[in-house]
Amino acid sequence: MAKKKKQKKSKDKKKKKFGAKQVLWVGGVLLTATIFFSTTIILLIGMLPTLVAYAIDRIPGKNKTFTIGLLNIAGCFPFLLQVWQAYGDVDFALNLLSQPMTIVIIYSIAGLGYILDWVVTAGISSVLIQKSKIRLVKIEDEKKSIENRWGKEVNGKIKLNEFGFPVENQMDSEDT
Amino acid sequence: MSDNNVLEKEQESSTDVEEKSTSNNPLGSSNGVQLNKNISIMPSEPLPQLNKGTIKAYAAVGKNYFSENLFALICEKNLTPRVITALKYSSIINPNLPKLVGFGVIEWELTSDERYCFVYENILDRPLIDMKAKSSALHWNPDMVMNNVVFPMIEMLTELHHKDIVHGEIWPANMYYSGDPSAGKIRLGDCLAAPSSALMPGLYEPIDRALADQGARGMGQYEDDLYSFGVSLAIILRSTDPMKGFSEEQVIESKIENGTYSSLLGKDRFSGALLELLRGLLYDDRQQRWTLEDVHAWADGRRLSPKQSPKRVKAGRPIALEEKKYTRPELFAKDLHTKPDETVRLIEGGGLDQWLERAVEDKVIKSRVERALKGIETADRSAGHAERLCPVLATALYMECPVRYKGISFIPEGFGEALTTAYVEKREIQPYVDVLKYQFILQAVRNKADNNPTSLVSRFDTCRAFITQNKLGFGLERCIYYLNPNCHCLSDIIKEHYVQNPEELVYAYEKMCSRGNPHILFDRHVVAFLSMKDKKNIDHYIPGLSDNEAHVRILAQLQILATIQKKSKLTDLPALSAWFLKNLTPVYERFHDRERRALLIKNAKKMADTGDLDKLWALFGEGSSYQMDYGAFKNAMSEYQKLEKEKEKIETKLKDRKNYGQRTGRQVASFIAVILSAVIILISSYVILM
Repeated sequence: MAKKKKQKKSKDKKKKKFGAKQVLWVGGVLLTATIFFSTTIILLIGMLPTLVAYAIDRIPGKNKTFTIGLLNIAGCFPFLLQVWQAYGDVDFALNLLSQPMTIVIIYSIAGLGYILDWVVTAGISSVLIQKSKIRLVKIEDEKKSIENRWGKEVNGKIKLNEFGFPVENQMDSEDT
Repeated sequence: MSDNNVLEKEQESSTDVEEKSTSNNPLGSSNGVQLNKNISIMPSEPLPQLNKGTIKAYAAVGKNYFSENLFALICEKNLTPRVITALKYSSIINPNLPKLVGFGVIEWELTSDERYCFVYENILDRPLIDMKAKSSALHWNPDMVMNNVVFPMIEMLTELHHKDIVHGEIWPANMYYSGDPSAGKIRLGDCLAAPSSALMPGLYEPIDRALADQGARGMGQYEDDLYSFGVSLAIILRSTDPMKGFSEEQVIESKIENGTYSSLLGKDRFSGALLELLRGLLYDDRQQRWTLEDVHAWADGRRLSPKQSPKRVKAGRPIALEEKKYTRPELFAKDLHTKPDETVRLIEGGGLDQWLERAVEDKVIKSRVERALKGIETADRSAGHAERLCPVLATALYMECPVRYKGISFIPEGFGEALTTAYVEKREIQPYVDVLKYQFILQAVRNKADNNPTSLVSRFDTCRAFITQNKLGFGLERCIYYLNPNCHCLSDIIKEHYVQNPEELVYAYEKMCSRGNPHILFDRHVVAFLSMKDKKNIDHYIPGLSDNEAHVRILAQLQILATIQKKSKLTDLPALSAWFLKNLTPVYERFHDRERRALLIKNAKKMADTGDLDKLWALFGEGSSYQMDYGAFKNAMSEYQKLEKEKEKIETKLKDRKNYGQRTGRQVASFIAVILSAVIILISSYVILM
C-alpha cells in the first residue's frame, strides 16, 4: 500500500512537470520555431547527430552530448548564416539541405565531436591510470619508510598496550 | 701448667695443618695480601696461638711508620665485625692493648673471596688458656696477679671506658702472657673481629647474658666487662675448678643456685684485698656489682663496705615441669621454652598460680606473672601460642631472662647479630621471623628492667612493619641491616665481596663486571642494604626496581648506582658502564622511533666509554622524551592510516578501469569542443561575411 501511494505521488509530480509553465514554454518554442522556420529546418536536420548522442549518452552531466552538440552547432552555423543572409528564405534553406555537401560538412564536424570525445577521454583516462599507479608505488614506499622508522606496530593492525607497544612483545621478567 | 702443654701441642699440630693448606694453595704469594700501601698480610704465616676460634690469625708486615711485627685477624662472614667500635678503638694507646694499625677489606687468597680484617701490632705472645679449654684453674701467685693482672687490667678497662668501648671478650683465652706469669704484665686480645661476647663461653658472662646464645648477647655494659674480669681473675687465682666437666647449662644452674663467687671458687680461700675485689666483681646482682669507680677506689686503697646482696627467691616446695623439679623461679623460667605444652597445662590447671602464691611467696613476681598472663589471654591463640607464651612468662618470672623461643635464646639488644649469624649459617630462620612477627617479644621486652625499653620496643615495632611488607627493600633482609648496622651486604650476588657501604658495593660491581657478565645486580638484600645505608638517596628509586616494565627496572638500577657514584665522587666505572650498555636494550626499545634508538645507542656507547654512570643515565632520564616519542608515534600512525585509505581509494577506482578517468576526459573534451566550435564559428563567419 505504501509503495502504491509513493508511485501515485511520483506520477502526480510528473504530471505537475507538464503544468502550465511547461506548456507555455513548449508553446513558446514551437511558436519561435514556426516564426524562424528556415532556421528550424536547418537545425532540425543538422542537429540530428546531437539528438542521437543525447539519446545514447547515459552518463550524468552528458558531457559527450555537450561536446558533440557544440561541434554540431558549429557545423550548422555557416549554413545558418547563409540562410539568415537570405532573410530566412525557406526555399533557400531547403535548397541548402538538398545539397549533399551541406549534410556531409555538418555531420563531419559533428563526427569530429565524436572523435574528440573518444580520443580525449581515452587519453585522459590512460594518463590518470598511470598517475594512480605511480601514486600507489609512492604510497607503498612511504608506508615502508614509516614502518622502518616506527616499527610494524605503526600499521594499527597489532594490539598495542597503553604505551603503544605490541602486547605480545612485552619483555617483562621476574628478575630485576 | 698442664693445660698449657696441651695447648702448645695443639698449636703445633694446627700450625702443620695451616702450613700444608697454604703450601697447596697456588695463590700463596711471598709479598702477601696488601691491606693498604703499608701493610702486607702473609697467608703463608699463620699464627695459631692468636687464633680466635674460627677467626684465624696471620703474620703481617708493616712498612714506613708501621711496626714490622704485626698480626692480622681474618674475620669470618658469619660473625659481624665491630667496625663502628674499631674507629674508637684505633685511638687507644695503651702498652697492654695491642695497637690497631689497620682494618678493612682484603682479597683473601686462601678463601678466594673478600674478607674483613683487623691488623694489630703483635705484642701478644700466648693465651693464658686454650680457647677450647673454656675454664681452668691456673693457681697463680696472688701478689704476682695483683701486679701483672689486676692493675694492668684496671688500666685497660679504664682506657676502654674512656673510649666508650665495651670489650666483651675478657677471658683467659683472650689474655696473653709470655709463658712465665712472673715475667710481665698480661695483655688483652682483640675484641673487634666478632660481635661482642660471640666467642666467649657463658661462664664469663653474668647469668642473664650466659643464658643467651653466643653472639646473641648484644653489646653489653661496662659492668659485664667487670664481671668477666672477675671470673677471669678467679680462674687465674683458684687452685681447683669446682665446676670441672660441667656443661654450660650446669654452670648457669650452679651460679643461680649458689651464686657466682661460690660456684667459681668453691673451697679456695683468699684474703685481704683480692677477696674484696673478687666479691665486688662477682656480684650476680647487676646493681650490687662493683663499677669501675668502685674498682678505682679499691685500687686506691679505700676499703669498701660489702654491699648486702638480696637473696635469690627460693620456693618452699618445688614445681615440676614434667620430670624436672624447680625451687628457683630463675631456673624454672630458664627451662620453660623446652616444655611449652606442659607450661600451658600448668597455667591453665592453676598449678603455677598455686606455686607462686603458696611456695614462692614473692608478691612482686606474682603480680608480674599475673600481668603477663593477662596480656597473653587477650593475645592471638593460633598455632604456636604455647611457644609464644613461654618467653613472656619466663621474663615475668625472671626479669633478666633472655628471650628463649623455639631453640633460640637472645638478649633483645643482640637479636640483630643473632639473626645475621643464623642467616649466614643458613640455619632455621622461622623462629627469628616469629619473634619479629608476633608482639610477644614486645611484652617480654617490657617485662625487663631495662632503663629505656622504649627505643628497643620501637625498633622491634619497626621491624614488625618491615617484615609484614613483601616489597623490595623490606622483609627480613631489611630487619638484618636495621638491627645490625655493622653487617655487610649478605647478597648472594656479591658473595665473593665484603661490602659495607654503597661505595664498596659499586666497586664490587665494577670488579664483577670486569671479570664477567653478572646476570643481575640487584636483589632483595642489595636493595634493603642500600636503603638502610643511604635511605635519602636510594629510597626514591626503589619502586622502579620492581616495576612491571623492564626499561623502568634497568633505569632504576642505573640511577641508583649513578647517584652513588656522583654523590661519593667515585672514580670512573668503565666495566659497570659497559654492563649497563649491554643491558639497556629494553630502554632503547622503549622508544618507537628507530632513528632515535640508533642515535641513543651511539651516544650511550660514547658515555659508557667515559665510565660516568650519571652521564649515561642522563641520556634516558628525561621522562618527557618518552612522551614526545609516543606523540610522534601516534602522528606516524595517523599518517599511515591516511596513506592506507588513499591506497584503498585508488585501488577501488582502478578496479573499474573502464570508467576510470572518463568523466574528467569528457570534461576536457567538452572544453576543447568549446574552443574548437568557437574557432569554427569565427572562421566561418569571417569567410561568409567578408
